[in-house]
Amino acid sequence: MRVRHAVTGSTSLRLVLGIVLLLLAAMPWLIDPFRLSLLAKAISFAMFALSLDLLWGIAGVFSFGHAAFFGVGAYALALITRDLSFPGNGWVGLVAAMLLPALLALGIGYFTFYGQVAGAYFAIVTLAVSLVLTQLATTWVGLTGGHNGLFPVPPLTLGIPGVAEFTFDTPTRIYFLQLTLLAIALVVSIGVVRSRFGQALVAMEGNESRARFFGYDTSALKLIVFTISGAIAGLAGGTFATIEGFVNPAVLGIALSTQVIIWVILGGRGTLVGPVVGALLVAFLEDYLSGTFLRVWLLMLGALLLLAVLFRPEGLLGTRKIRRLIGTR
Amino acid sequence: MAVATAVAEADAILAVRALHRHFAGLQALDGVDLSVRPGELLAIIGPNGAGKSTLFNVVTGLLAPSSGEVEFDGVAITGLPPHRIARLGIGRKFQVPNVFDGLSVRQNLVVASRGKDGLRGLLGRDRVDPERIREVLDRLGLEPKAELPAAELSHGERQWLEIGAVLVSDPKLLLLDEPTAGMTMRETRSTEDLLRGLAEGHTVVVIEHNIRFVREVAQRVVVMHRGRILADGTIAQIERDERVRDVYLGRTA
Amino acid sequence: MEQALVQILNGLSTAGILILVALGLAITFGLLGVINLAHGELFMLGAYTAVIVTDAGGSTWLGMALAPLAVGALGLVMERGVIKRLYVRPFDTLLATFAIGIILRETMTLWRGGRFERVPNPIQRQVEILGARYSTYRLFLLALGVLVLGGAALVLYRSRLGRNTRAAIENREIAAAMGVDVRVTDSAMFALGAGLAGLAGAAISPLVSVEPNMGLPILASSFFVVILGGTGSLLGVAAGAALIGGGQALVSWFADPVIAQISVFLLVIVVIRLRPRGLFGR
Repeated sequence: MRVRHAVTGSTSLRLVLGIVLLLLAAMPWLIDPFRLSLLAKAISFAMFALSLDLLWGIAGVFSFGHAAFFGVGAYALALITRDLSFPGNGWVGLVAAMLLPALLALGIGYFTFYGQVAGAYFAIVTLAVSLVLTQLATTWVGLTGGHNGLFPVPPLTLGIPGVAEFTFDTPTRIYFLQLTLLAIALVVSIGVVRSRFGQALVAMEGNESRARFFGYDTSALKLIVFTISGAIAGLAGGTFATIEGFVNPAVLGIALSTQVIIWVILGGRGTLVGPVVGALLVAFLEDYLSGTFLRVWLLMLGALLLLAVLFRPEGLLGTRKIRRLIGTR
Repeated sequence: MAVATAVAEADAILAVRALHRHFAGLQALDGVDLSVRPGELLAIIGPNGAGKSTLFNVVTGLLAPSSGEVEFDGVAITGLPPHRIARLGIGRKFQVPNVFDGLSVRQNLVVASRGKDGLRGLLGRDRVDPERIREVLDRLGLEPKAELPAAELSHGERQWLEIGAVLVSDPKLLLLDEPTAGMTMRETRSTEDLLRGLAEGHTVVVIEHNIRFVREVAQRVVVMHRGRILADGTIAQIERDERVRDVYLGRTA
Repeated sequence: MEQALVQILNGLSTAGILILVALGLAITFGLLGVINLAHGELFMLGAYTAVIVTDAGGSTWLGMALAPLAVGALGLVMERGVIKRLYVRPFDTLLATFAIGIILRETMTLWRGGRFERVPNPIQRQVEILGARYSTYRLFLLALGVLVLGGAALVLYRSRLGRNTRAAIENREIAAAMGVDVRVTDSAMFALGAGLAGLAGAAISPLVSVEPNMGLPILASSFFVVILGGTGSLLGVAAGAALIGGGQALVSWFADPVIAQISVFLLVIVVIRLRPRGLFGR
């Protein structure tokens, strides 16, 4: 089990988190509005990476198609705020952006965590879900606008419906909303990890059979963390939709699912803070890279990842122990 | 084929009947019948691949048998998931110590003890019994090191902590998979004392390769070979058994 | 009546295609237990081999002959260079093959520009069966699938390599003690699996648009066929392919093909939930 870990409240991680949040809070005074909205979008991806790290880095459940939840959240919020204009639709949109992916996760989890199939099965099922949903979004033109997607997605209006509403329609407002939501997501995730439930997850990640022999119902544990992860990913997707102003099937697809895996690995799997920072940096950068550069960038990331797996068995940031791999299969 | 010590099944705390388990043509368990009396300290020995760990895996629910039944304390447990079997009172110690290095010795036991409390113990009120934790620490002799990170323990101490992690939920039946693996002579002697102490109040089944250790602690020894029970008796009887010697000296393939 | 026949033929030919596509994975994952997330990319490279050959003036048949060799060679390199080092770390195999998949996808995108490419169908004719007209090429694929499956069975059960591999799978240590060079069987079988994926890619390329991301749905389908049929069983591959192919054809009779895909997908998930070992798994 990792020592440098959010669970043990490592000082250096807390320090990093503190610095990062302070820097982020100061951004509106440091950069121009255009870059600010790019950063706000990157925060959506940071939340997304956080959701995957909770599931994968902490609980050890690898998801190959995590964008399915991000995308469902994005579409849910887009449809509600765009097509149903009633006071309070911002809140309903946010709730739906979390609830629908959570239900999806519950469904998938129920059919995959129970029964004695290998972890690879779950990974493949999530891949298939991501593919199927992308297909669905592309062909169900009536609902999703098909290949062209939904446009425009209005800015979010929150506050007290009918009484004191507040629309997030400037880069600064959007940015602070994002920062707040990120902070909340972080608080929730760190809270989960430091709780008894979180300790059980880490025990399970270290050695699932052993955890079961202690009496832990690992299928139930996985189901719960998967649902939470799905909800956070959905929230990330929803916020992305309102910032971008537009959703298309790419938010559900495999490219995004692949990218978030890389963000988590680069940031430091299992540290929660690492993937957030990693995603912020890399996503922010990727927005600058277009076309060919992006492909070369991805190619380099792939090569880096391969080298890391081959030659640094403890993981990229030394966060895994080799020992647990002996004698457990 | 169980031999000498015929234990009346009605008394048995663990009864395994006609257990088979195959993997793609390989018979890991080829008709195992075994009954364990409450309070017994039984050692299972045998060459690698004899099926000892597979037997444990089936009893603890990690593997489903291809055929046969397992009964624990009168309750049929064949096919139940591992966590349910654990909560019914079977504790299994893993072969390789897999303690939580980042946590203290005490915290290791706390996390292990919560397993049986289920989700209610994680999300609702914490049901950990600090008295019980202290008791186990005492018995293991790890009380002085209770607050140290588990990473700082010696290999032998880690093995004991593993045993403690299983003990802490007070199981009726303890399955120990090579408890003395990698231990020094001194640590092995201490483990012998530990086990003898455990046998009072628990039923213990041990898989071991260290014959000296087995001689010191086991009342009854079962020899497994190629998925079957070859011999079953006291250590003295086993050592005199021709077939056992053949198997260990490799005369039979 | 014709409609029914067409649908039946659809189901059968889809099953044949699925067998082709999944067989490579059945060997690498089902038998060797290697989680190869780059399986789809190996398929994709087979398809691109056909593209390159036909662009250079060669026939599709030539492409189909070269693809398994080229991709099989790549598979050998993969196994020797990467997979071999990771046998004791199965999760890292997953990550490593994931990385390889990315590398292959992005390399092809950079090289070929990510556009959709075509391979000419070598059998443009249609055949008439009981009043219905059907693509001869699809029937060819059905035959090829069955043939390749038979070939794989022969290799696995009649050849020395096959026997050694099966022994090594059952018990590595004992097999090694009996003189089986496990490294050779590992490499050979993985290369075979890769080559089969390449063959499938080239064979199916005339029916689809070839582009760098085409491998991902293939990966998913292959896994489902193997898991449904049961790992370690060639018969399982046939059964899984037949059920999924047949199921899709059946449902797309009265519903949208996308709905058909989804419903079959859901069905597979439910079946696995009830029978985790699949239909013929060990």
